[in-house]
Amino acid sequence: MDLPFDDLLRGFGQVFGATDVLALTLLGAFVGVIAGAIPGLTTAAAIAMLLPLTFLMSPLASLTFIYVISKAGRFGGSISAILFNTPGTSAAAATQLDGHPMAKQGRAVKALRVATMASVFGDIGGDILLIFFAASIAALTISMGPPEYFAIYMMAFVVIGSVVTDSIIKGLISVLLGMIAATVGLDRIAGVSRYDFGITELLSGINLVPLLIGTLVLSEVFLQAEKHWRRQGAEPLMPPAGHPDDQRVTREDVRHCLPVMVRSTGIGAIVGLLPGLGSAVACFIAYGEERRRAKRPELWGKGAPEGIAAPESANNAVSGPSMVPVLTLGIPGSTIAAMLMGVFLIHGIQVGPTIFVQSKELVYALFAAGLVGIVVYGLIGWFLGPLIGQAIGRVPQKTIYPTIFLLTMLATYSLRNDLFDLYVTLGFALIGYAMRRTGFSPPAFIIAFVLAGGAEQTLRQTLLMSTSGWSIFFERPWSLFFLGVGLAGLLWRSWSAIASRRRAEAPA
Amino acid sequence: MRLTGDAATGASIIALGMFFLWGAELIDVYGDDAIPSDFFPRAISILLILAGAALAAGGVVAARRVTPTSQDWRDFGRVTLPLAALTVGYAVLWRQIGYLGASMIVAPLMFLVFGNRGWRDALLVPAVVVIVFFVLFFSLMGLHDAPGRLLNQGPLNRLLGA
Repeated sequence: MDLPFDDLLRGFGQVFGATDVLALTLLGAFVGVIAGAIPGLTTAAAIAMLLPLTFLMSPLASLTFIYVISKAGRFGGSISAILFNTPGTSAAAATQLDGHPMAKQGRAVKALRVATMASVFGDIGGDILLIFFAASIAALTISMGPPEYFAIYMMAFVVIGSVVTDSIIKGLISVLLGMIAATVGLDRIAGVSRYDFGITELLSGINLVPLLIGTLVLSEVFLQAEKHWRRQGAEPLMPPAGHPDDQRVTREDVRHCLPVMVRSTGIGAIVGLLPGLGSAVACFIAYGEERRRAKRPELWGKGAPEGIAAPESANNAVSGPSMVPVLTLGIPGSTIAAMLMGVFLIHGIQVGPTIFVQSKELVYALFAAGLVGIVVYGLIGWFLGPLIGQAIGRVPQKTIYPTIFLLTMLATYSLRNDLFDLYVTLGFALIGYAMRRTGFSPPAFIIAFVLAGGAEQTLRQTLLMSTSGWSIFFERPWSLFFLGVGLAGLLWRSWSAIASRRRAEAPA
Repeated sequence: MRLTGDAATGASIIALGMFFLWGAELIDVYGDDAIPSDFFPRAISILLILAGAALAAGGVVAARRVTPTSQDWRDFGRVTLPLAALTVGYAVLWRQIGYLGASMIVAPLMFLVFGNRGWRDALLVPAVVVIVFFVLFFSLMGLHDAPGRLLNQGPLNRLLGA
């Protein structure tokens, strides 16, 4: 295996040699931290709103901007989790268990610094895995043809659908809804219109941006409006300021946290490689595991720094490895990965194993930008985290959400200067709202929407090249393997769901 | 938090699947295609119907576990539905009088929905936000505004004598 040091160095050269890329790396880190820290506004939602802006940028600048926001956003969630006991992102939900008690004890700055240290550690660990292994995995998959790819798509649909929500059937329905949304418009092979119902604007299909903004952002605005109506949207309160001596991260803290961060980074990296699980799962697995291993578990949940280090390392370690399936197979495992894939495609860059041949420089420059972004958000978190938290605490939520509404409308319109897209956004906002209310999964819906076109195309290509019809999928070993993995994933998930239901129903 | 039980949700999914199956009937198909254009939509629709049926069946069996959610329906009718109507109104107004005019009308309403009261919070802040966005998107980024039909060629124009 050739280690890509030279490629990475050239990537750094590109990042530091292009003012726009460097500026967007810095801006992305700031935007990500702030977006992640605002309770209720997910990083994915912030990216969805900013996506139209990236169309004006160069491919590297746009990818860097989105990638760095996603990294910084995962960390930013810990700011509101620690200060306000409200995680800015689901990935920071476990951080609040020990982070907020520390803040209430007057050790908020220390808690934020432990979160920063752990996030940076985990993120760099995950990125090392991505940088040194993605190309090797891609080389393994380069010989695959349409049957294998169709099998991979099917595996992704089944695995993502079955793990994203508590209900397997609802996850799978979310996937099917995303797939059917992707069939709207002209069939790209036969040139036949589908599901346009006479509306000319639908002939070109549903654009990803209005779908993302509607499903993720506008639906959230509706839900927040309902909360305010019920007077549930209480403004966050800043915890008390403590003594400056209590805010330092000591050598002792680092010594205790380091092994926790190493193990949690490993957990996060493994979870990141698997499509559909994501940061929220990684942070709870790491928290649970480290609490189980802790010498004094009774301190956990009451303000143990290790209780912040574990989830923060794990959720940030997901970032790099979650790019592996996108770059090597063209299969996004999360909403943000799906959006990144969309940006690649918008700029005419084919995602998949050949990317390491055709767009090698771009990919390594993106990796380098990711590493620079980690350092930048680390510095922001270490020095400005408490200030950002205070600033967010001062801006009333009742101002944030109507402003987001106006911004979503403008972002949607700016895509094509077409007001029809506002109706599309509203339609998907209602779909996203209904999905959240009824326990379906908007991320599964979005990922399936992105993948469905490729799935249909590979199915058609497969059947055109096949001399034995559908049995071609069972004649090729890799295709059979991926279909088997999908089936095994579904069976395992069903079995574990049944087992946990039985445990819950069993008499105590 | 659920609007209705899984049985009702499953029934809605079945209805949706049937709607898409009907839509697939309208797709033109050419005989020489190995996989015709309607194959994928048809297959997904059938799977939706089956999955909806499974969900509904599960909901019937586990009916006792489903929480009543009349509050959610009330919130939907009282907040989300009017907000959706406001969004439609915004798009219509934008087409007729352009971004600035439409936003100056809709933004204060939106701020009111979120509990902003008084001239400063409900009028001044939204106006500032609208103007900042206008400068950012239209002046600096060069975005083209919708024509503003009413102002340019409609009755308002005639009223103003232009």
